[in-house]
Amino acid sequence: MRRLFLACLVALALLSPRSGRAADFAADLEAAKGQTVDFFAWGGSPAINGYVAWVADQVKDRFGIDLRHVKLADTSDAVAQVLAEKAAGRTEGGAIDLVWVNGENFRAMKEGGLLDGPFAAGLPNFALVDTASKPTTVDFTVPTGGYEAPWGSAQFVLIHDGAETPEAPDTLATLRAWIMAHPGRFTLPAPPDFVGTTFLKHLLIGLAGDGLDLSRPPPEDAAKALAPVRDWLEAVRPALWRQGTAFPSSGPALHQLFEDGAVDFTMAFNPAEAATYVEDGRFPETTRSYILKGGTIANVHFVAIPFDAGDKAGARVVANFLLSPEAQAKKEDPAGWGDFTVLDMEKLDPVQRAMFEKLKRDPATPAPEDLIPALPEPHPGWVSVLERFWAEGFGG
Amino acid sequence: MTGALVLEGVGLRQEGRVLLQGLDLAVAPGEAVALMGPSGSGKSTLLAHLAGMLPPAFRAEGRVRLGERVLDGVAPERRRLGLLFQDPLLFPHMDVAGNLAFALPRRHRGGARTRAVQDALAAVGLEGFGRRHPPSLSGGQRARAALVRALLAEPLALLLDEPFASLDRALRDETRALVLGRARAKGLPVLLVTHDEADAAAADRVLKPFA
Amino acid sequence: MRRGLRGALLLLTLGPLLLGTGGVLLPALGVLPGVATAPGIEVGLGPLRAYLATPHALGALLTGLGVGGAATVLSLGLALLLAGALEGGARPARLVVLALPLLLAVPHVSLALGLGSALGPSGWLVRLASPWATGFERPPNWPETPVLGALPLVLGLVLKEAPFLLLAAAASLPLLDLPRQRLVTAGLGYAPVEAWWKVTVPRLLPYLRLPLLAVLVYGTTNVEMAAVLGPSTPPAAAVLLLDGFRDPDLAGRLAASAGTVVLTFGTLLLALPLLLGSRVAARLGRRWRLAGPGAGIVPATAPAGGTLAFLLLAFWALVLLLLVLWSFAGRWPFPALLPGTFDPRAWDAAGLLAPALASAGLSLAAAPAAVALALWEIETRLPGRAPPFWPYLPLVLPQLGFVPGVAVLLVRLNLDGSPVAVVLLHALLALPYAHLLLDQAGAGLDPRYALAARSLGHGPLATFWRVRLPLLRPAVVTALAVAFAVSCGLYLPTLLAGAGRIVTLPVEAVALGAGGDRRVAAALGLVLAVLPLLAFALAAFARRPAHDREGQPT
Repeated sequence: MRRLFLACLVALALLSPRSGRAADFAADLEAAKGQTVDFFAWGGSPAINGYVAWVADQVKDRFGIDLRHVKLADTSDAVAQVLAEKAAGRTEGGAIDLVWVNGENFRAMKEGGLLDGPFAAGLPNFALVDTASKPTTVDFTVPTGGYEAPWGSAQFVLIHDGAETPEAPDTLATLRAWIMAHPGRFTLPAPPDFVGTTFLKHLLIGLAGDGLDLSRPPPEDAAKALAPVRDWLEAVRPALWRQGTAFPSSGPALHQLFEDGAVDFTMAFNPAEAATYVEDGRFPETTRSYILKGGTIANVHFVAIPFDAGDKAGARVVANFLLSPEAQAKKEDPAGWGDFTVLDMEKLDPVQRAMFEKLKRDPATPAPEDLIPALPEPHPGWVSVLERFWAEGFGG
Repeated sequence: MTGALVLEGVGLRQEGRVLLQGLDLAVAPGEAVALMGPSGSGKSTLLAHLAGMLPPAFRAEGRVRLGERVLDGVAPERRRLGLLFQDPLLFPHMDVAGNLAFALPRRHRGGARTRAVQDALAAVGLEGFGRRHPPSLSGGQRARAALVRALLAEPLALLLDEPFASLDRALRDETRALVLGRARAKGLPVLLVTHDEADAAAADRVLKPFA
Repeated sequence: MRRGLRGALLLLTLGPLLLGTGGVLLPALGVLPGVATAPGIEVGLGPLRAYLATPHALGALLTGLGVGGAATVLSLGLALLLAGALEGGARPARLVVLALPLLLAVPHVSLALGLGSALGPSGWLVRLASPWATGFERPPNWPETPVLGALPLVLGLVLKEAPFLLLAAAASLPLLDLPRQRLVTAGLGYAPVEAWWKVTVPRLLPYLRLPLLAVLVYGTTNVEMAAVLGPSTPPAAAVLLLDGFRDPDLAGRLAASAGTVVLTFGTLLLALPLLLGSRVAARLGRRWRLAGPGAGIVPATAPAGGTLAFLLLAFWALVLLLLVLWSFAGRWPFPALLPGTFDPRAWDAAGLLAPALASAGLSLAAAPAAVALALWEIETRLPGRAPPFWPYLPLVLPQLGFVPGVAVLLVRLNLDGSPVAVVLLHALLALPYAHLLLDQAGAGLDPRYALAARSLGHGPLATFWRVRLPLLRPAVVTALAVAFAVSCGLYLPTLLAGAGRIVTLPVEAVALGAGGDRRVAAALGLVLAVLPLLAFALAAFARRPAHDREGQPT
């Protein structure tokens, strides 16, 4: 009797969710067949949308999953959706199965109890992820806790036309001098656009970072600490595009100004972004990307599963496929999206490594050795501090 | 088969203003009674009331009977009162035959319907006009089409609201004779509101009941 | 029976509106049912205080209200000038009438995208004069000022709303029996243009109140045009509020709800002087109107209207041309007037077919639903009663003010993302337009037709289907086309009620437009215009009545 009881306990343990990853994932694969996974992801870039369409074809063929890309104008729309579902008391059958997320939106969802998990470590391909040198388990200083799975990595770069502006100012001091010497030829996307906010973070790190521990939540007197940032911006403001009275609304809007010839610099949170614009014929062949001397911020973007997702098994299978060497190599191809991998080349077998090595490197994209050092993101609390700082001093 | 159109103590008021009070009247089958009054006195409103479609701004009192049947509270389409207005009001989206068939009760079916319409047109000299659309007809033709349309619905009484006013004099006399003659032949009580003396002269009785 | 029908209608239309408004009002007071209150925001005036503490809250409010007010006044002026020029026989004004379906069909988003590439320092108009006249080899470095920065948005609104007011005027004019009036005024010695301003316009204005209110509310509260064309320093209030609604932080949403309430009240306050202003103008104009025929500057308004008509058409032509050019453009730097290379890639990337089908299907269902709701109200109303105001509430309430609330409601009913719910919401938002057109047509219809039909032995339903509906056909067809166009252009309701699962053209266009991709956005903008354009073309074909009406109401 007692033996039977023990056997039952063991059987129950085996069946319970934490019993064995391989067995779990096999069950996911089975359950995912025929599911429709609604993937809510920012849809502002045709290159990224094209990549997601490729993923949809692949998961249909391989796993029988219908992947539907719901193109968001802003990822916080997805947060709003899940929040509305939670407010309505829904616990299953939610609209979103998988969401592309990081930073502030992740923190809001995690703290709001809006996420399912932890699931990341249960994905077989997570074993290939570079967890040592890339921030794949910490998102803007917030531990992911397995509530999101890494998808790609990015680093902030400045972009210019090497033929037009041969000298590329690579410190905040030289950049300031360059702006003053060339009135109207530089600007930044207005925060809360994340590229613009990231530019401000570099001012924060470079001008005010010494006395602050940026990995911790901003102090009470954060606004005071920003005084050097304000001074820097106030000084260059009259020499910015349109004399600092207006700012482009987004990174791509700044790219448009660069393409129009209205400014000499643009910026991106993706070292390969300029290459895709050159490929499209929108930027000149002589376009180059570079980082500041002290380094630029790098981060990882993730996918997460809402707590009430209707097709969680399918979502996990898709998240695992996104981490496969094949999908990661395809994503890094500059002819497509050009987004850097989160995998550790050391953990791949030679065949898998070759998929990355054969990728064409575009001269507009910096070589990996030119992207050192990569700086960590400040605590996400700084995002709202910087957004407010901008809105109060420069937004109008 | 048809009885008299009887009004018992019928009154009309509009927001307190009395237009008509205590009208007692019996129109015998085959008889034509003219009610006279200046425009705006409530003539058309009285006919609308009799037809069962009094505008909400008005209040009516009294009782209306057709033979033994009390009409008050009966839906307009069940009252079996034929209406003719100053404008013929032929439906412009239907041809003339369509207008007539629209009026013909449902129990006439198939070929009988077509024949009834053809016969009715022929009876007022409109043979071959069935496929024509109302705007292509002359004023007199339209008035005749409107008359046969009203008669095809097999009314038990006719209510005429200045039906000849839009016609020129020669045509007016002719059309009036036609309408009243048809009504008499069918033994229908006819109630006519008008301010035309000639209309009044053609009626059997004339009343001036409006305030 | 009639009461039951009207009760059901009220439930169907006012129900979602009131609940949706409640879903914004309650958060505006700091109450969010089902969710704990936001930290740091007290129930009551907390959200309002939080909104007012938002940087530029007041400036944005002034910008939004100023832009909406200016655009409304200018649109009305332009529409009246155009119609006056039309009376005077000016040729360009006739062209505007011919082009009216096109101008009405092209959605606001498409117009904004095209106009945005025409205006601004690197826009096509500056290129046109560069470098030969301006000397600019690169886009000029002009500063943006609050007033100058708002002008493109005002211009965009006027380009879209003046044709709408012209349509509304055209829909009302049959009620005024102009041919007979023209005979009278001509006999009294008034030239057509003068008769237009002194007799027709004062008679027409009361019919234009609701369309004007619609124009004003759209002008002050729309997001899509303001985001593309609006100033950035400060932005129009609606743009700032949308940012707030998108804030992952609960407090931001509460503040945005409060801001929406403030913006709505501000708009209604702005409407008051506009309505009163028309009274005052009428009083002041009285002396001028009664001074006798042959007055000074009036004849000059015809050529002025003609010139403005020409300008309006030129801007529209430029906007559409630029959309076509950008959708096929390769590299196109300043100050080139034409793209250096052509590249059809935008047309591949847009993935146009699926969203176009979604848009067409959704709007094909929503347009008849909107017309049905409008007729439902009109036909169950007691004859002689004034039209009720509630069908126009979806116009008077900013979408931003009730759509988020409706979305929460749908989620609660587990109906979010259901096509039926989205169709109903679209129908509700198209209802005011359908009602406006159908009510005026219904009022112009001789009620004695129905009386005649009833006395011929037909019940109310048969009378409606066989007499009133066919007689209203031109208006029904117009209303269908307009409702279809309105539905096609809806972004916020589709996104929120569709829970993102119903991806129509505007949803796709705004998502890609947010990426700043002028080329793909231009391609989507063009396709977005094609659907309503088809509807309008069909309507123009189907509207022509087979035969003229007979018998004028007396």
